[in-house]
Amino acid sequence: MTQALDWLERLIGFVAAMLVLAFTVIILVDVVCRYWLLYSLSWPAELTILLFQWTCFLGAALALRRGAHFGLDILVSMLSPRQRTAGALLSLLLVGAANVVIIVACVPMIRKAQYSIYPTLPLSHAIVYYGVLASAVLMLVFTVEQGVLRLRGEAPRHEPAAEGV
Amino acid sequence: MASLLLISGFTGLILIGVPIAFAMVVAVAVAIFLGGTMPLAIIGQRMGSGVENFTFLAVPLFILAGTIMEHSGISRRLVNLGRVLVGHLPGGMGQVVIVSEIFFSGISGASLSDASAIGSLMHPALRRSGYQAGQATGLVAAACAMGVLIPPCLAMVVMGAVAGVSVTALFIAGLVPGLIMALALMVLVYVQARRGTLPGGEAAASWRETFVAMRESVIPLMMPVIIFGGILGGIFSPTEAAAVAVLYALIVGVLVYREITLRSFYDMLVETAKVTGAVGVIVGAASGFSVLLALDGAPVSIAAAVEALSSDPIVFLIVVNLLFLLFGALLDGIPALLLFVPILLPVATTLGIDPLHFTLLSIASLGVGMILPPIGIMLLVICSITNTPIAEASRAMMPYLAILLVCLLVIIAFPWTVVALPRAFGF
Repeated sequence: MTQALDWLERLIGFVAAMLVLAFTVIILVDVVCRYWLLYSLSWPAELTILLFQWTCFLGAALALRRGAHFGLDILVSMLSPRQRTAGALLSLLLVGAANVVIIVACVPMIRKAQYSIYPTLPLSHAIVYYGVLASAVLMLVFTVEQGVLRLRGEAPRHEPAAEGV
Repeated sequence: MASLLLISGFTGLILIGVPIAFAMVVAVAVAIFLGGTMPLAIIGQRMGSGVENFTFLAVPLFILAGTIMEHSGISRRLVNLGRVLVGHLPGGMGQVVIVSEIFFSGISGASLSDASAIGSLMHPALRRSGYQAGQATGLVAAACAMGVLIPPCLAMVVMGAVAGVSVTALFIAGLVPGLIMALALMVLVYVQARRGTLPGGEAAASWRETFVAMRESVIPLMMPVIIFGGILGGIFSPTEAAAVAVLYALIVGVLVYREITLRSFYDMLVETAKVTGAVGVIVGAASGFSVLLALDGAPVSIAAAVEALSSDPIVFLIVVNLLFLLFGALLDGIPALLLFVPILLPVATTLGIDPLHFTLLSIASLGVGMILPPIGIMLLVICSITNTPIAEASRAMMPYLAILLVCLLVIIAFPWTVVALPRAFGF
């Protein structure tokens, strides 16, 4: 399972990296067109925001697998190893619950936005909420993975790196 | 009632170790479920639309530009420039740390990566010049707290978008308070060195050394010139300036210094996406959190409570600063700003406080909060990099922390230190 999820993480990383590259290039092309070619493009603003939104959604899943979400661990670090494991499991349970809430909350938004089209792009606004949905599903999968590892008594793979901070 | 539930639920969840974004989602979901008047779909809606803002694109772009520059070997060149400029003053390498941090912050927008870069580079140099471990770490931490105010700064980009304040105005507004803090730290180091508690100055650099250091620093220091020249010249917006900064950094890293490979660039893109995701999910969740607080009338209640305490804007700003100092230490910079600025900004406006003054002050106090012993995240990062016990660094840092707090009071008492320069530029 871990190998398959490693592969999934690499795939998410690749897509997210390409999205960052894409919106950087589009913004630069827009600047060049506007100031040097004196030709204003209408679509870059909407497309770059959409690519950025998807970067955030995929990046959030990547951050979860790599233990990079902002949190407070002062109290947790004061606990005994056994209490810390119990605390980590409770925390994972709540992260999982949050992702289930996001998934449930996204479905009506996808339905609602599916007929709303971007003014400059041939795309439905639902694509944003598909991104939120994909992110929440991926985060749920990674949360379950971390939970299983914890229950088996194994530390999640990101933990040794996180100790430095 | 919903506000109380939200805030207490959220606080409880982050205390047991739930990451901030997910703690917000759970707290909002419980409040919606118990309230019964709002649809759950608002969470999905805010998670999607919370980051739907062109200004936010500057966040990954400034992270990427700063990372590329830091991997291009500019650190050594900038520190060398600092050394030839101020290394001969009493306090020697301590003065260099402060001046180098100004240069660093003008290139990179991420304060924690600045702290890592300058901490790993300067700590050994400080130790070699006679600084004790705690003194060296404390000084690096204080300089990094000051660096938060030197633009470009990620917190300014995020706050500009959230608070509806011009990011360019915030960039300009940070300069004077940042330089006040830098000058105050330099004077303190000078006095400590004169009293013999810190080492004296290094040998003055020759004209030739100074010329070489300046020539080597031209390329990295062109970055802020491009960013601010472009923005103030009306050529591009802050987001577009950040994309141009990425292009410039890439040209420098690949063609000039030849230290960036395709593989390392790819890793930087992935790292940028990861940090963007961690910030973005908080922006989305905080957006839902703020909507619920606003619907429950929390800003009005807080305003009433503050006015009952005192309607003096200075008292309000001092209270808010204490709050941000505490939450800056606990929550890291940007999450704390996202959570509290949307609630407190309307109150500040009601009290006649300039939004620019309020927003910049919040960023400044969060910067100082991030080095607040014993839990400030930036202090922990620097202690970890320099292998210094937190207690030792905390003790040595007290004078620097005190001077930074005095600077915050000065910025509170004299709003013109923040607003005069942006007004001169027409903001």
